[in-house]
Amino acid sequence: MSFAYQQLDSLIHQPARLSIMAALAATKEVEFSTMRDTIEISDSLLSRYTSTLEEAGYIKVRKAFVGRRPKTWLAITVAGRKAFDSHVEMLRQIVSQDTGRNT
Amino acid sequence: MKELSTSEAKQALGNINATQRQVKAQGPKEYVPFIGWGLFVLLGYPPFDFLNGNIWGPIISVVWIVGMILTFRYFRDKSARVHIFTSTPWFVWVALVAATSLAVALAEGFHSKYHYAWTISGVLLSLFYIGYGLKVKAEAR
Repeated sequence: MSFAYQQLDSLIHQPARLSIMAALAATKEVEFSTMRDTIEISDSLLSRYTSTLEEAGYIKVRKAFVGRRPKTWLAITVAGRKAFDSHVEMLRQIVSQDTGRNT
Repeated sequence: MKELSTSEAKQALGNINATQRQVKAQGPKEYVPFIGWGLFVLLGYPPFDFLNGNIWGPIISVVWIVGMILTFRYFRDKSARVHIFTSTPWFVWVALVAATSLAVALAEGFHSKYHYAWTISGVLLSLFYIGYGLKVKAEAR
């Protein structure tokens, strides 16, 4: 069974971007290399995805120095959390509607 | 956006949960120091009832310093990767400091009258620390 949902956010739904949003929704901030290792993608791909999400206003990027080493921190914005929560809610509705049909 | 099947939705939800578990596992766990310090008072206070304080005092002081260093390093290292939302409000820290100070003062004050003053003090204080740690752990799931 398939459902057409215009409400699903195509920007978030792409698997790697969804993982980035999921990780950021569960934490206050995640360091760039930790995010890269967690979702198992390359630096360049992660940079591209974070730029897309940042341009959409879903995440914010903060650069900071720890000692002499530069570090990049990623965090979800209020708009990003709202978009992520409604995306997850929509996914749950799709699953629960199907469960309802089968019972 | 193209149609989404229920199996795809289930898979997406599964991926979300797995990613969140993975990333949380790399950050500091707020309950760890509470349980650690609870064990410290549970095991560190009672010997004052049975051993010479001049011997046990320096030993427990060294363990306390090591514990402080380990607590600092734990949060420093884990926070270098992931920053978490802390759920412990300021008044809990104030209550913990007050309870710890009070427990030590009462145990020291009553030790000459009641032989198990330090043991009772350690057990009660550890219940506070470990109980709060377990509450934080349960809420973090």
